[in-house]
Amino acid sequence: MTAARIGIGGPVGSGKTALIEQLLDNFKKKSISVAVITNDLVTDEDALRIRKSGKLKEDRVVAVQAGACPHTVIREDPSLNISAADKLESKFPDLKAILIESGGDNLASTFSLDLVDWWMFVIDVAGGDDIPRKNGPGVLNCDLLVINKIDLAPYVGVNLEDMLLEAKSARHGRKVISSNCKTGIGVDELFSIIENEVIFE
Amino acid sequence: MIFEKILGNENDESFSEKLHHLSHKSLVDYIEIKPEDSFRRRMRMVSINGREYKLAIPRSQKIENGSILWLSEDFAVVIRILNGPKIRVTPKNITSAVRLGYHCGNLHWKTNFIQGGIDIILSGESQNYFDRLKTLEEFADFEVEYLENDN
Repeated sequence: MTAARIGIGGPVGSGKTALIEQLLDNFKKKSISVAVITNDLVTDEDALRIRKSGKLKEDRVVAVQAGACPHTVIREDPSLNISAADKLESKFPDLKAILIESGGDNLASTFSLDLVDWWMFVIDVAGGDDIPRKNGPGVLNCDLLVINKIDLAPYVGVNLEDMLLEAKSARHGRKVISSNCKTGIGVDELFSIIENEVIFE
Repeated sequence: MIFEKILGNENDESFSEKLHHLSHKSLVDYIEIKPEDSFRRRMRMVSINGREYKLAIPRSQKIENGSILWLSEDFAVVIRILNGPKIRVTPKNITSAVRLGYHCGNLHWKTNFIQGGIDIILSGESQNYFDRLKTLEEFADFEVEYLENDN
């Protein structure tokens, strides 16, 4: 069976890479073979960070440089990422999942289903509690909305309960979860959702 | 049950007779797929008979209306792609047609070109589409028509 391709999008600094680092622990615990593709503008910054974390063998982390607006390589022409994913699947035939992290982008960012099977959009409380109300395609169309950094809510004047309700209302009942990557809150739930929706182990 | 490849289409001559035979005995299970999910190659699905299935087909394949996922002597599973609601936009002149085409592309809408206009395939709330089309009215002359699901 092919490896599930899972997209992780969201604004700059929302915690996409931190979330991946947390998820890698879950993949390791369950002995599910995984690889990561990071997207940055003109550097390999996020790939270097994940390699340094030691949570995954270095050759299982591949960097794609978008060179322009990050959404161009996950939606309009995702061939760079498709090629990177194909190469990973050839190199590691045991792969069950490939996590594809978009470069930080705006609320209009969405993934092509030619590239991924399922994708999440990560926002954070410090980005403002009005984000769900803005009806961005990223927030509305993703398979799962993750509201991250919930520990910061009291410090940035955000009522988390209201923000979650507004997010659920904007998405008409489609899944929304909250997380805190510093403590791991929400990560097990997120991993269970991914396992159930697309990994099929 | 996980389907890992598409076997063919119900319209293929090599399958049609066998499927016809099975369908008469109510031995064909159909899975209805929303148009926006028809681009997926991996997902959970529930058939019209309530059976749960999983799809994990190769990247080189794509489900279509009539795709056969399972075929044996006594059972078959076939895909039905639903016709979801659409918005039909009909430009009244060439300049408006160009504006309209650019607008739909810029918003990454899924569209089908038809004689004299464009059908916009909706994903989510129709009001979101009407709101965006409203912003174009100042620059282009066109008619808008909402078309219900015609399954």
